[in-house]
Amino acid sequence: MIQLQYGDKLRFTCSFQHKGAAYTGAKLHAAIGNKGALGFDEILNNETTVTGIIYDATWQTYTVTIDVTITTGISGGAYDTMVKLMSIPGSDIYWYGTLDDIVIVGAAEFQGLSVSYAKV
Amino acid sequence: MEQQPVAVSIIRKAGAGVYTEITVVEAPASASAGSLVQVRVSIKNKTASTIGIMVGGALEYGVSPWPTISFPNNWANFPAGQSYYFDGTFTMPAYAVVIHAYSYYYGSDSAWHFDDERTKSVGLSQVEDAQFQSLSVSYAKV
Repeated sequence: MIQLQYGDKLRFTCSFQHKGAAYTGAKLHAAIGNKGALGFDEILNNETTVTGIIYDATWQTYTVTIDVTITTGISGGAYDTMVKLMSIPGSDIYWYGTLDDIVIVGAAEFQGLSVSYAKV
Repeated sequence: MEQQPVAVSIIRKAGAGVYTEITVVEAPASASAGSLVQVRVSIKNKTASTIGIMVGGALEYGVSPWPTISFPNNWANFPAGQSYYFDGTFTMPAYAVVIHAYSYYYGSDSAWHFDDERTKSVGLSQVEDAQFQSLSVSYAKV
């Protein structure tokens, strides 16, 4: 479990394999949100275009990092993660992290002000 | 390999394999664009004495000047009548190419003289479409 505050960044280190022709335009999309029965509800995300995919005669591993900044766009609580490799030949490739592994510490909140007074 | 090439004392301008003969140019029949192609050029010393022989190579496919083929070891002293081979490489362009292999002998004027040429064609093979698999991810606070 990773605890994050507003202003922190969560760095996704993504690896995938490629072979065949050189390719431009592949994208990695990382998100923090909620994984549910109807899919993944993204709250914060970031995306990067993968460059430098050259002709590979055999499967070669590429590693790319993406940072997602924690903003006030997300409330405090536990969340899930998702990364997809997209804009590639064939279907997008998905990866999902452990459920509720990301905990956002919400903004400071105050309540319940009560006062009494007396002559001193 | 010796430090200095042994010179041919009589220099002929004729070329066309007077002192050397390229016997074989080995390369694949086809290669994919961007792949590294291995070339082996076998040369025979046709003379009755040891001489210095150098290899060279270029690619013909419509660009000028012709790109050269890299031979890390490009010369040797050949005993009389002996054959030897040189290994080289080039990166396959997006076109079919004709390899031009050249042999040179070392003259008494301390210069290399062109002597023989042999060609071999390498076709462009269809490149396999890009494929992707095995996305794995780790994450950490930074």
